[in-house]
Order: sequence, then structure tokens, then C-alpha cells
Amino acid sequence: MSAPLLEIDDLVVSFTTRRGRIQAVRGVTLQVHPGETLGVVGESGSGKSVTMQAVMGVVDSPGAVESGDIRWRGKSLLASAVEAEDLRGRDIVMVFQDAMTSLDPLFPIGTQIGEVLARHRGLKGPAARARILELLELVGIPNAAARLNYLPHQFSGGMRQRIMIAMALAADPSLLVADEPTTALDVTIQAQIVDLLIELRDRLGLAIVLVTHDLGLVAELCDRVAVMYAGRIVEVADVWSLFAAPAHPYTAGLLRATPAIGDLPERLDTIEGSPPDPSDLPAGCAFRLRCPRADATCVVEPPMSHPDTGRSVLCWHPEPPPVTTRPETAHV
Amino acid sequence: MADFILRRLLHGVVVVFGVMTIVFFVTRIIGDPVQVMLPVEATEAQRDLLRGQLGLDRPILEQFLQFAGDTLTFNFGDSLWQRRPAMEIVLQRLPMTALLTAVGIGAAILLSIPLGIIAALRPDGIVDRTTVVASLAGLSMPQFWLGLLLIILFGVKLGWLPTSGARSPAHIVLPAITLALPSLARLAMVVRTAMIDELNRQYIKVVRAKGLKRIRVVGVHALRNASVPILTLSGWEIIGALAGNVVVVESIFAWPGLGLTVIQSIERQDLILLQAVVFTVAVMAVCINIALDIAHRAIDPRVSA
Repeated sequence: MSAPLLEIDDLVVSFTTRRGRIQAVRGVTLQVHPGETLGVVGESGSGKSVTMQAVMGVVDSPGAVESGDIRWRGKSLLASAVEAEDLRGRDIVMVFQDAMTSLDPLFPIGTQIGEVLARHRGLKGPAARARILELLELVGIPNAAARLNYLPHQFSGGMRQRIMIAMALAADPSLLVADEPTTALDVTIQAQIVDLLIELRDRLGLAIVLVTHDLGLVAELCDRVAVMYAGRIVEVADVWSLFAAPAHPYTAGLLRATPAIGDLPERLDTIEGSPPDPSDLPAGCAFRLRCPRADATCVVEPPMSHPDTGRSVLCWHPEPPPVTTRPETAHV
Repeated sequence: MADFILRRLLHGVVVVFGVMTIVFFVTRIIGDPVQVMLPVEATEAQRDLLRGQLGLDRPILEQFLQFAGDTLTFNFGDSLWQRRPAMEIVLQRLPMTALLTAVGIGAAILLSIPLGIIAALRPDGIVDRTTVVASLAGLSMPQFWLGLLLIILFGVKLGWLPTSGARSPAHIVLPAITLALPSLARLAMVVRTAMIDELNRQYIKVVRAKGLKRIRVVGVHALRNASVPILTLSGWEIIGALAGNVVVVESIFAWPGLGLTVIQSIERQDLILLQAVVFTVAVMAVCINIALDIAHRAIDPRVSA
């Protein structure tokens, strides 16, 4: 496999509050390779968005990276803020969840895309204008030339998300981080944005990190999946293995809670209990209080198994692989 | 745009006329100028004669109609006290008040913006805490007391600055500081709050993720979005200074501006002069409000007529 674009190495992100320090991300290690699409899934509060915000250097105050490292093509983003600033918006870009509030309401969209070109490519004037039009056409904004001077509120939510994507692509990035890019949109618009992402990935050879809780979206888009729970990655696998044979009980629970079309059960399965309070995590495995497979061993933190094989799980008692039914050998 | 300004101007005319109506009736209620203008030993006949000369003996409604007509034609009559056109006195004093307000409130606005921004960049940091505490102190101090403290410290004890009159550039320092401090305190608090609000918004995270320089993120994106409340309060501070605070400050420091004129005209029951001053201040307030609206539309293009 080629050298990874992005390496997150034992990253810890914590928020200092009056009640003490709360770790939202507790030692995440993850690689993203050129051209691949990685899904990062988990519940709200699992630390998936915070991990990616740390990559972009936009963790909400009072959060801060406590330890660990984030490297871009082998170079630490945490070591030099100035160098990291040059990479962000150029090589690594992010599209956020809420397109309605992601654009500055007072500046025309053309200006906001132009800022990226001026900052990272030194493009101004007619050359920048031509590139902005090209980008807006790429993401499917009709009649772009007439709308360069429109303000964000003059566009619908779906259009704004397209503009966000155009802005992200302005400086030819290698990695696009999409943080729940379709959550705030209508279902029909969601499908359009997903199609757009797939098209752009195939056309531009982008690597994508898709942060989501939508397993359907993961199945549709991703090559590899990392499942997060309570600030840790509990399972990493390629998308086929993960859906076919989830190893972590949490992943298995998530998949059971997701109905398949044509196979709607009377009642959806749920995962019992609720996510733990990050300021008061249980000792050992954070999932053990909700886990059907937990026993006394789980009070001790489990190790990450097979971290090198591409399939790894953070659990003492992973789910057994499903038994493929074969005709029984007849014993006489 | 021209249509908008025209409508606001018409609106302003109504406001000024309303203010003038109130002033007319209130001043007729509070006292009799003849009592003040003539010595105590003047006879009733002498008083009646003067009343007749001033037109004060006519029915109040007739006086009002006369006054309304005069106001509409910018004819305010002669000051009872100085016996020369009231507007002439006002226009002579106005530049001193304009200068004091420009220096004092101008300094307050210019200082409050960097102060509020620095405080907002690190909420609960040292600059932030200092700004908040100092602002509260500034807000709690009455201007007449603050002015006297400054006189004691810089005029009497240290002897660095003149405390009365307007004979040299140094004379403006103490009155300007006295006028500026409460405004600075209010403005710094508003700049801080508005900037904290904006810096926590989603679009700021997006522009930061674009890799834009911090100065552009804060100074262009956040500040422009925060500037509507800042602008509104700045306008109010200017109007508040012109319409009230200068009266206190100019009295303390004997600054020969409109505020002092107001006090003098009230002491002498000079209704005509008082009306001319109030008219001028009301017109300025209306003009500042129109300027604010125009600036607001320039900052936020979403605002339309």
C-alpha cells in the first residue's frame, strides 16, 4: 500500500471545563491513504467529529489536542501552526454538516471561494473568476456566472452545500473531510450530494474521510470503515468485512439496529443503555456496561487486536465470524 | 437608496417637529422669563410691558402657531439674554461641542474596537477580565464625579493639565477623557460580546479550515458580522453625548460649547435660545440616525428597504 496521506497517531483531545478535564478523543490512531474513502462512524459524542476538527485545527474552545500527533505526508501538523495553516484549505479540506450556517452571510459566494484561491494559489482577478466559475459548474450550480455576487441566503441548503464543496475543491486538495455532509439536507438533496461526492472522488482521485452515523451512506461510499465509541476507535475493517462480519459487539449492535429495505422487522433492535458520560467513563472497556458479551475481563482495557492486518478490533470477546452453513458431513 | 434617504429625511422632519412641540410647552410651564430678566424691584407695569414686547401675553395656542411657523422657516428669533439671533449663538458654540464629541467619542470608538477584540479572542484571559472589570467600573462612575476626580488628580495634585476653558489643545484632554470613559466602557463590552458571538459561529470554523490568516478571519469576517451592534451603539454614544453628556462635562470644565449654552439659557429662562439649541441637537440626532442606517445597509447587504 502507498504511503498514507494522513496519519493520526494516538491522538488525545480534551476539553478543560470547570468540572475538570474531559477527553473527547482518547488515543485515536488512523491512516488515510491516497484515493481511498474512509468512513468514520459512531454515535453523537463518540469523538468522530472532534477527531477531524483536530486535523483541521478547528476544535471548539476550550478543547485542545492534549497528546499524540497528526501527520500529513509524514510531516507533523501540530509542530508548526504556520505550515499547517498553509496545508489546510489547500491539501486537506473540510465540508461541514450545516451548510446553512457554514458560509459567511455578508460576503458574496464568489468572494468566499475567491479567498481560497487568493490564499493558496495566488489567483486574483479574471483568472480567479474563471476558476470560480469552473468550480461552480463542477458542483452543478446552474447559471453560475450570474450568481457569483449572490449572498449565501439567496441559495437553498442543497445549493449551499454544493458551494461549500466547490470552495473546498478550489485549491485542488488531496483529502476531503466530509463531516455529516448530508445530515441537514432533505432526503432527495442528500442523494444528489452523495452522487456528487462519488463523481468528484472518481474524477479527481480525491481521498475522502466521511464522518457519519449513517451506515447506509458508509456502505454506498466507503472502502474502509473505522467505528468509534466513547473517544476510541473500536473497530477498523474494510467495508465488506465489516458489514458481513462485525467483530466488535458495538458494531454488531449498530448493524442490527439498522433495518434493511425489504426486511423490516416489527421492532428495530436497539443497543441497550446510553453512551457513557465522557467525564465518568467506566474502567476498562467503555462499552462493557451495555455489552451483551461483557464479563469480568472487560474491567481491564482491551488491546487493539491485529493493528497491522487492516482489520482490528478493540475487544476481549469479539463476535465470532458467522458460521457459513455447509451441508453436514454424514456420519454413519 | 435615494428613495430610502428621502423617506428617512421626511421621517426626521416629523421627529424634530415633535421634539420642538414638547420643548415649547415644557418651557412655557417651568417658569416666567420676565421674572429673571428684570430686577426684583421692577413694577408689575414694567413686567407687563416686557411681556408684551416678547409676545408672552398672547394666548399660548397663538404663541405656538407663531412658534411652529418660525421653526419651519428656521427663524428662531433673538435670544432674550444676549439680544442677538439665537441661531447665531448656537452656530458659534456648536463647533466647540462638535470638537469635544468628535475627540472624546471618537477616541472611545477607536479604543474600544481593539480592546473588545483582544478580550474576545481569549475569553477569561487577562485582557478580558481586566476589560470587563474596568468597564463595569467605568459604567458605574457618574460623569460629574469622574470629572472632579480627574481635576483633582491631573489639575490640582500633578498640575499637568488645564481644567477650565478652551484656550489651548491641552484644554481638551480632561473633558474629552471624562466624556469618553463611560462610552468606552459600554462600547468595549459590546464589541467583546459581539465578537465572542461571531467567533463561535460555524462560518468562522469554515473560514479557519480554509487556512485563512487569523487576521483575516477576525478582522474581516468576524468583525464585519459583529459591526452592526457596534455601529448602532457608536451612533447612540454620539447622540447621547450631544444630547446630554456634554451638558455635564462642559459645565465641569467650562468648555464653551452647546452644553454650557443650555445651562446658561435655562438659568436665564432664555426660552428662545433653549429652543434653538434643542432644535439643533434634534436635527443632528436625526442626521446621525440616517447615517447609521446607510452604514448598516453598506455592512449588511441583506438589509433592504
